[in-house]
Amino acid sequence: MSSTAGRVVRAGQSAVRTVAPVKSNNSAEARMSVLQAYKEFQRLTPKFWWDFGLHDMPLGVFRAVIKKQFTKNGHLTDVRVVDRLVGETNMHMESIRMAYYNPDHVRNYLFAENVEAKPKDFLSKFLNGKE
Amino acid sequence: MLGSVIRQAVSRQIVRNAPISTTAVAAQTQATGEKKESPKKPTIWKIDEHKRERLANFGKYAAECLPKFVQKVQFAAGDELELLIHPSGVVPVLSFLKVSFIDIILTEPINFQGNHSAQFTNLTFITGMDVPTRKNRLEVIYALYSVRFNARVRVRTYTDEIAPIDSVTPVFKGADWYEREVYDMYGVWFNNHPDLRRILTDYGFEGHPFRKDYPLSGYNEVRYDPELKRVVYEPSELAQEFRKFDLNTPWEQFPAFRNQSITSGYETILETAAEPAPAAPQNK
Amino acid sequence: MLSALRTAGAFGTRRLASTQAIASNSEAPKGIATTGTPFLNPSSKAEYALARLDDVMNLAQRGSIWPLTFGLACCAVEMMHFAAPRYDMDRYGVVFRASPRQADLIFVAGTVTNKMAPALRRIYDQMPEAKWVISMGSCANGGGYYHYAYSVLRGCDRVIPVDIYVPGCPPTAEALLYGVLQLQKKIKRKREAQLWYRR
Repeated sequence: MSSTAGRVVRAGQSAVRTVAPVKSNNSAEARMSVLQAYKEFQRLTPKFWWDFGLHDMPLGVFRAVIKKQFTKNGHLTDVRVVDRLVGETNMHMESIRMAYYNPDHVRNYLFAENVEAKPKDFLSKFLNGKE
Repeated sequence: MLGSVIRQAVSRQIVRNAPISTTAVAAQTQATGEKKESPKKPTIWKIDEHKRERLANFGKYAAECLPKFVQKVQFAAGDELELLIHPSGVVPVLSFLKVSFIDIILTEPINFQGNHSAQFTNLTFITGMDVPTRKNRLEVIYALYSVRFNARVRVRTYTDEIAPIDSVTPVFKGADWYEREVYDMYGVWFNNHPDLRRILTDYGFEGHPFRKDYPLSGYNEVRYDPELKRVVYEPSELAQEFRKFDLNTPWEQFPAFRNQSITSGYETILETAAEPAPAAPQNK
Repeated sequence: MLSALRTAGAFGTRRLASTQAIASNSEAPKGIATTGTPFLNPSSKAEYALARLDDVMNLAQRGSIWPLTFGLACCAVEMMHFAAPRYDMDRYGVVFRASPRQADLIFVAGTVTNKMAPALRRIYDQMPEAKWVISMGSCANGGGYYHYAYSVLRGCDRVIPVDIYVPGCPPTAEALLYGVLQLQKKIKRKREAQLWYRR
């Protein structure tokens, strides 16, 4: 879908598309918006930690958990996807401020204890006591 | 015994009709005579040809006014006007349809009741559609209704999973939750939306359920874990999977159209050629 | 209780009748004494006393079960029908309370979605002890019509323990009435004081 000049595709080079941006026009702006979102989230974190009953873990550990949510998407390069995720982060913050989420939902989303843990083969099931 | 009961009922009916008037009985037989003549059942939707012509004219007028965005104008199902537009033109087209004034300012909400050719002031719904075989797999469909002229129109745009669409909340305030629903269910991102959160799915739900590649039963299910003392998500384990019985029924609804696709009844009124509408001025 | 009135003249033999073999007691059904208590054959005086205490407690509890309104979907309308004049539930002592802190029964009427499940659990936890759950309708029993959906809890017994399941889609108000009556019978055979003593 290359329409403007200067978008010649050479052999061996990946194709470049001109697309409409979501919010940021290049990766520097996207990085700025991610960092802004991260700082704002960390400012919100003490209120989040206290209001949602997560104080069975120390605040530092909770901050690390929040940081992990940001870094797990650190491999993305497409600026529009990054913009979408920043928008979603802002919406999460709004929901936390307005207390739309339940503490159970927050824990399930951040920790997801039981989601991976099912043993598949006979021996693991037997050792876990399920079969 | 049943036959005798029916005969009694019929005879009682005839006796009851006799004293009212003979003309009533005559009119009744005449009506049944007419019904026997015409083969159509009375429940078929009658297409008003005059209205259809006016809608077709309006479609052509809209395509002439907005040549940059309108790609196709068609009639779906006889007399439902559809405008197929490029995704960058959602706000211009919808504000045009709302007041139908050519030189409107595209970013301000407009409230005057000027000289209109159609006022589609009522946003009936916004919904999405997923056709995974296309390159731009998701479609967003806006349905508008004009109270003044009693006319309906549908505006359809397309997007792939990442490209955003401008939100029409500046034009129609009621588009707010509909766009949230389309975002939640299909994953279409709307720019400049006041509050684009999920609306129907669970908090912390991952995935967009109405896409065709999302399974019916989902990936995670919920139960209460007494050790953790809360409700947790676990990978789904259904005792019996969903069984779909696709039996051929003798009472097929449209036997005459068995081999035709749904879009075969669509009539194109106007189709502009290929790739219109510029993309963003800068690359990524 | 007509049987009680009939044996009123033989007052002194009533206690004897309840401790004798059932076959000699021709008026009450099997497993139940003439006064209606299910606790037959107590083994000691203390246990007899506690059985009578149990009887009184159970009578009080089953005579006024106060449910919490938890109408989620279409079954809520049948629940309203149960409260309406034809199948009046107030004559059984069943009055709706809006707050879980004041309720001892919860009618889970309707589809429980994943989004609602933590709220349901929280509400159940907020009810004070001696609480019961009636799961009403096929959606609350086992996911029902929406069993295979991605966002539906497949039965409310995944999050709360259920005492009575009322089947139907929706169950008629009469079926719900029958369910409440069965719950009353279940409460009647509760043995809290006796078990405390035995432990």
